[in-house]
Amino acid sequence: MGKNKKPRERKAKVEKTNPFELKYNVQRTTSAKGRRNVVAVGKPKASVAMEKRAKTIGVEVKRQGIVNAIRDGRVGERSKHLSEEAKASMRYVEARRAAPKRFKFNLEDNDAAGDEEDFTLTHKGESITKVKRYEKPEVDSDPELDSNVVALANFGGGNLGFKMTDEDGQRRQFSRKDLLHEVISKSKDAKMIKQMARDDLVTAAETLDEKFKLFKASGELAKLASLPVTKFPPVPENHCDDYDEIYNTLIFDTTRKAMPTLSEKEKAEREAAKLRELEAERQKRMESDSESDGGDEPKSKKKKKANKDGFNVVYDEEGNIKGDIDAMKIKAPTDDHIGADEEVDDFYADDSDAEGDEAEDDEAEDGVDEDSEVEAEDGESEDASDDDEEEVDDDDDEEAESEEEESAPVDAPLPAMKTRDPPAPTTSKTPTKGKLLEDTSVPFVFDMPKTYADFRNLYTEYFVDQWPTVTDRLIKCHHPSLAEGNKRRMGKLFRFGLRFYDNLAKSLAAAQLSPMIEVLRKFQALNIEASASVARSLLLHKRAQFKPAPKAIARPTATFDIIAFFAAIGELFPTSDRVHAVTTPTFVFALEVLRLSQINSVQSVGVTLLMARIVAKWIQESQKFVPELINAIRILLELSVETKPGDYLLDPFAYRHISRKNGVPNALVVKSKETLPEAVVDSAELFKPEPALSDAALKLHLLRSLFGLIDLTVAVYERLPLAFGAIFAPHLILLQRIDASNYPAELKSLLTAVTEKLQSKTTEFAPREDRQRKVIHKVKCIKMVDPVFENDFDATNPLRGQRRLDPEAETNKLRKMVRKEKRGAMKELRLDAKFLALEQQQRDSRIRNERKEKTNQILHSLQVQESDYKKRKLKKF
Amino acid sequence: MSIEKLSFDSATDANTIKELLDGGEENLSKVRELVTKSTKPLRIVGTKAFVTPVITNVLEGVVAFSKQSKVPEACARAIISLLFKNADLYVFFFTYLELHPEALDNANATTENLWKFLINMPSPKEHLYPLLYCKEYEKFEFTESRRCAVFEKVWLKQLYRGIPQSMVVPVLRKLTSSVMADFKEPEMLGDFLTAFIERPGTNYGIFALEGMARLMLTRNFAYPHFFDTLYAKLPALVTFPSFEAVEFVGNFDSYMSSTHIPAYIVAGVVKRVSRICLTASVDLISVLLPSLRNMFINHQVVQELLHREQPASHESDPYDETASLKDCRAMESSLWELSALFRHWNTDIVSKVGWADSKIHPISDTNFKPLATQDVFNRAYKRKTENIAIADPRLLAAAEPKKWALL
Repeated sequence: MGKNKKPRERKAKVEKTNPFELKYNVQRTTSAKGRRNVVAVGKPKASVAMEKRAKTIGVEVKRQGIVNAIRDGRVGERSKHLSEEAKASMRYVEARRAAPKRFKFNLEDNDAAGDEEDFTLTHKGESITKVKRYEKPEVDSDPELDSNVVALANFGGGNLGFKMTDEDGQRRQFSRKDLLHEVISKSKDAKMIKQMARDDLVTAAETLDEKFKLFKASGELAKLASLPVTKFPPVPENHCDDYDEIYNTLIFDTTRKAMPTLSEKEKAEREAAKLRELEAERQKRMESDSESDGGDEPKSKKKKKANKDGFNVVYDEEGNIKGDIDAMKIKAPTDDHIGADEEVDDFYADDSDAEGDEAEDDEAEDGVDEDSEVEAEDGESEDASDDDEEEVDDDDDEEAESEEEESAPVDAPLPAMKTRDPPAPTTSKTPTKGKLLEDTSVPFVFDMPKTYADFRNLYTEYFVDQWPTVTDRLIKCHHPSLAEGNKRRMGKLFRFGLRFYDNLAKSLAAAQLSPMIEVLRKFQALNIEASASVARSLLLHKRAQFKPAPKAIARPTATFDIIAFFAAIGELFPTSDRVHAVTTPTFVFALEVLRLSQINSVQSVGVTLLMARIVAKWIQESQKFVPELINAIRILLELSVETKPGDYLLDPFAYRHISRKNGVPNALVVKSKETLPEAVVDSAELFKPEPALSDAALKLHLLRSLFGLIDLTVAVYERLPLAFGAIFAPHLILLQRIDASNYPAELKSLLTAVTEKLQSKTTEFAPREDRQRKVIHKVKCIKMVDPVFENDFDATNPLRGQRRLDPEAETNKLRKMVRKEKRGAMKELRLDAKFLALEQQQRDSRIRNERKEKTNQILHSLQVQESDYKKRKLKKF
Repeated sequence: MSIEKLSFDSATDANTIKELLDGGEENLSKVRELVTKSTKPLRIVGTKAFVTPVITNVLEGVVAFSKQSKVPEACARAIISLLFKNADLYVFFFTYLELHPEALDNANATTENLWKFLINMPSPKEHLYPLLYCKEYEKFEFTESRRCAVFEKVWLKQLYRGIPQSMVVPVLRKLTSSVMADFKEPEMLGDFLTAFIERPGTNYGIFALEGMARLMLTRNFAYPHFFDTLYAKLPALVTFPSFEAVEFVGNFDSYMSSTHIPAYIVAGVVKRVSRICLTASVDLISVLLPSLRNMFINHQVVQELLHREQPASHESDPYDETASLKDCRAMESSLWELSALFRHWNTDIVSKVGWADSKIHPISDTNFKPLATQDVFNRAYKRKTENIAIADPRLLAAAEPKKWALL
């Protein structure tokens, strides 16, 4: 093949332009009209932007994964501000965190200690093996290289520049081999020295052990142990002072917190702040109409509740109707189920903790109690005043009989009627009985009174001023935090207390009532809910006794226990709340008593006045409008003027609860000169069979009280200026009609003061303007546009200058700019991505080509080898 | 041909009956047995019918029984239900009373016993059946018209004889509520009612207005002082037991619903009612407020009292409570009184007076169910005791002590 092949001359490659990629510019010329000159500008080349990219992100992409830097990852090392100590502590924390959990408590494995090692030798409290000096060396099975040696071997071998003389006396370059040789020999030496030292230690320890065993076997050690301790010098004890003790207790008591000590002023401030908070809360309750959660429950919910209750056992084991039912009995049948969500507390039940006989006794007592009550209820007739008294007596008689079995002294609400000698509540005030202990102080420990009799005996034994102490100690002995169930017992104590209070009131022991309220307050604070339900059950009981039937015209005049009941509730529960589970129903009952209580004597006038005062005080804070109170005051005023034709009191059909006999219509008219009693008269005086005050004196006292009451209501209802005149004008007329000629000077001045006050207030608050309801009309405005006058209006270009006038021009402009920039940025990002993709593609293709070329080379060399081999094989020698 | 005239044979043994009645309610059935045994309660001679002594004995026995002492109302009711609830005895009883109007009087209690019997008698228009049967009953029938006639005669006669004070209330209530409707000629009561309404010294006549209104509506009766009297006596409403007043308010609302009432009357009454609300009990207010609202709906003119387009300023309230309806100047006034009720202690009342502060929704309220005190109590009692607030002793210490039980 002798062809001489000439390398073919390649033509210069002319790039063909793709006509579709060409860019044209249209040039408008003015030479010929409408003639267009289209010029091909050329194929667009890579833009400047792409070149810029190649210089910026292109470089970055090329360096990616190739160039790096060393970063110090040690904790805190890079910080310039941290001290060495701080860095160390940070490292420690990090190390602790990294440490495995099983070392957390540093527990030693005691099981490993065998019989032989009963004794461990210690030195200054530490195990001797742990002390470095006496360390028992472990036999090193896997000797490690000295770290220095390793470091030298690995990295220290750089400095090989010096010369050395070898065994042959020739100076030559110090080679790496020499170095390694040296390192090995040195490390061997070091190891040997270490091993020897260890062997020495082991042998020494072994000999000592042997000696110790011998010593132990000889029994000398036991002697040593039996030596009296005193021989040793006293060890300086680590003295623990108070601070340390407190510290140690506090470490384990996590519930306590460190509090800053307060000065007296700070304490006072805090107390004031607390009071303010409480007051604010009270005001809130006063205004908030949260009846929805109480009264207006959705019906479905109510139904569910009722279903859940299932049925109530109405009869007890003996088949008698249970007591709490008869409290409900007199109620008119209504759809509403009273207190569906709570059990009606049987107020007079003396239940105990179901402990043995006592509980049974109590039950029996209950049974008897209830029987009598039921009977009394059955024999209910219209004139129930006698009935009621009988009922009460019956109660207590039965009670007494059943309690006799417990050999407990018994008190009675009416001590005069009893032949036994019980320490009646009234006697506890004065040390009449020999039983009373003047010299003995109050004991510190009290048993929990299980029955009402126990409770009564406990409190009748002490003077009134000792009651707080007794109560405090009783509570301390049986505080709810001491045992489970104590809270319930506190509720029971409250019930006993309230019953005791009620009995005190029935026996007219007025002086002991307020101390008892304080006692009740203490029990109440410990079990609020129980106290509320007990108070409610007493309310039901009292109301059942009073019998305010729907068509009742009048009821017997309220007794002192009812008055005392209102006083107790007013003291124990907030009367200012808008809605309250105890005070609101009590208030309703109070109004019923006020409205229906019969007036047939000066005393009963006093009772009505007392009730009116209670009602007025009840609403003193909430300032609620109570028409019943206004009416009662009006009636009282009518009673204190001489009747004249046209008065309601002369109308036989009006005010049917006021008797027209015995001069009652003029009950408060003063007909002869009398002196006003100085002292404040206790309300219990009204209820005593033989009153201390004469009727005339009582009249004057009642009048003074009445004027005070009017004054109080005027102060309360000042908040109703529009209706003030309408409310008080009739009062004023009656006040002006009062004949004060026989009044003492003090009362006279009181009357004139009230009259003048009322007069001035009536004129002051007289409505000046008609009522006008606020009517808020919603006016729909038409959008008005102000015309803009342009002086140089161009009709051909009406929108000229519009942009300038537009108030939002600036905003629009900016918005447009933002939009434009955003679009530009998006384009840039897109092109960046394109560029990067292109780069990647190019790199990939370059690698691919390289590989291909190498593969080709290898294949080529293999082919050459193969062909050589074949040639050699085929070659015939 | 039926016989009209009825005469009574003289009694032969009235004492037995009286003694039986004295024995108490257990013996009443024995009396009834005695009556039912008899086979001939009536005998007819020609055109005259005679009640035989069997029946006369009973009637005279009852008369003798009531003559001796006060008859308790329950006893009267028992006697009536056992004996006089039957058509024959009913007619005999009333005819006997017609012949002897003073039969049931007694020296101590005057006509009290009589009225107790009359009040508890069933209406003559009820379906009553004879207790006994005999042939003569076919000739002398106890028809409704016959019953009504004797009933009306006796009532009228006794009304004009006078009512003891203790019985005025029940008699008047019975008269206006049911007896008047049974009368053939109720206008005969006009004089009695007028006298009662205008009786001086009492305001109870306001309850007789119902009868008067009935006469005005059914018999074209004219009583020009109706609204004047109503206005004058209205404030006394609070002095009567609230259940009676509540019953009255239902009628009162219908009086005021007439669209022909002049504005000044409505305004005066509105003003009065709102003043009454300042002293009334809850149940009375709860019915007065809807009726007040209805007045505002029915009489657009008086809406000025709640809302004036051009409020005028006064020296004081122009309304004069003591003046007559014409001179009271209620139209110039406003209902300032209602502002007090917005602070009423009972939340239901506050919600009921809510309309006074907003535009009245023009639907009249016909719900005159009073808020019974029992319901008020139940509602108040229904509240749960969870998270209950107690009087904080610290707050009490800060405030002045109230001394509840001190006069």
